[in-house]
Amino acid sequence: MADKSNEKTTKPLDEQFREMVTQWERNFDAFANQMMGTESFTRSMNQAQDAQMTMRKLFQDYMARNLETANMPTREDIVHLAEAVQAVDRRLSRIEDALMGMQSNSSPGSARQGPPRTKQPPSRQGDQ
Amino acid sequence: MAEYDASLAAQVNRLVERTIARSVNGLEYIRGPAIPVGLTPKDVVLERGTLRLYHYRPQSDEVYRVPLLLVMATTNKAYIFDIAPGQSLVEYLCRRGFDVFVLDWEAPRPHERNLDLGDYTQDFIPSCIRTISRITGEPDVSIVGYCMGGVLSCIYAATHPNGPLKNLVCLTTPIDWHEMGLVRTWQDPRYYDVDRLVDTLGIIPADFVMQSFEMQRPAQRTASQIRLWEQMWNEDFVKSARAFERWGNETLPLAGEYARQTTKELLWENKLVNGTLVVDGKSADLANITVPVLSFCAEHDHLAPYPSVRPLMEKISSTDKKEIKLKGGHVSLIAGPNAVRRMWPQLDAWLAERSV
Repeated sequence: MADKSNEKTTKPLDEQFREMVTQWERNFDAFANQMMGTESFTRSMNQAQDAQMTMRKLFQDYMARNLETANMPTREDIVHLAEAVQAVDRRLSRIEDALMGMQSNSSPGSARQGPPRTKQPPSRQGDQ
Repeated sequence: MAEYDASLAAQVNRLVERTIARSVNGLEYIRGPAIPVGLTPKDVVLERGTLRLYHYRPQSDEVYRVPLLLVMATTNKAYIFDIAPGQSLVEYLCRRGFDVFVLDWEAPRPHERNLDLGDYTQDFIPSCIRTISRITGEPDVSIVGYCMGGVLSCIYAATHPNGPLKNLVCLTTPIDWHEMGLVRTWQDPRYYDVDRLVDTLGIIPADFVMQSFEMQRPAQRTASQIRLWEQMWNEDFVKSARAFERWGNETLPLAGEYARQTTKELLWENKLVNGTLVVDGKSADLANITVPVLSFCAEHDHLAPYPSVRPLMEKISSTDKKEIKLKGGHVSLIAGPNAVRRMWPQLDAWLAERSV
């Protein structure tokens, strides 16, 4: 009995705290969204993003120059190499698809794996 | 008086117990390894660049004839469909008798910066469907697309009106991009130079993508941390929170061309809802879609608000179509305790009737 009465007295406190957090979250988000939905915020945000992007690019270029000086492949070199591999990969994939298509045409049904594909929805089984 | 004392003692007792449990779980939370996710047994059946296709091992004696392909959004990992045992959509669908495949994405590498909507909808999805057909021996497939995965699925469906798509399910899929709220405001073409961004970076970094999500709900992270602290004594809650936190932190970067095309053609020109989108020379008019369609949307979705999702039903030509609006947000619609109760059974019931 004592436990039950404890539940009744303490549970609302937990819930109240959670509700308070949820309410704070909603109010804060609503206020922030209102502020962030303005044209001036959009302009400032994009300017900040632009600066962030410029910094990234400067760092990338600096790294590339250093790698080049050290006679090591740059990111661009690796990208070109990867693009060549990607082109080969695509051609292989097309060949693989064509071969699989020929195989399945010559022996229909041979690809089937796993349990039988006979399941019926509950409404047609008359159960549940 | 005695009853009051007993009540107070019990409260103090509980407080002490929870404080100890908080300390133990808190330590585990800080020091513990990353929480395991995506545990349902599966095989990788296709692996090409950013694309991964998983085939989940069947968990029933017989399965529905039509295989099911879940298409994940390009911004996040697909283990949200398999976040934890008992809270896993794929595990649920496997147990309900579906043969489940999931199209997941890895972070695009620098050489994949030129991937665009054409690659995703005319190459990746068709490649997955061919693989599924080869494995299952079935000529058709049902697709369930989540968020941007739903957009890609719609474009695929609209550009392949003669099959082999049997059913299409869209989960919180934005169609009218002019109703995208803050994203549209922030990416105002007068201030947002997408060309400069893409030309400079090639791949849009994950932190840019994550920032744009988090800024829409700036208090969410702090509120989640407070809730986590308050519930730190509850081991299940902590595990679940850690899994969701991991998922949120593993946001993916985006291929530059794909981001450019999405911004210009979908967000600015709203071509999906206008029916003017052309992908690899094919019209992606939603009116081309005639297969049965089910659309789920969430009441409190801030990423794909209801007005952005609603036009799907009006634009498609399908006669068998249904929209279900549920309580919850963008993520809680598909994963977590509310999804288990609300969305999953309705998805199962709708698909079951159309998967024989």
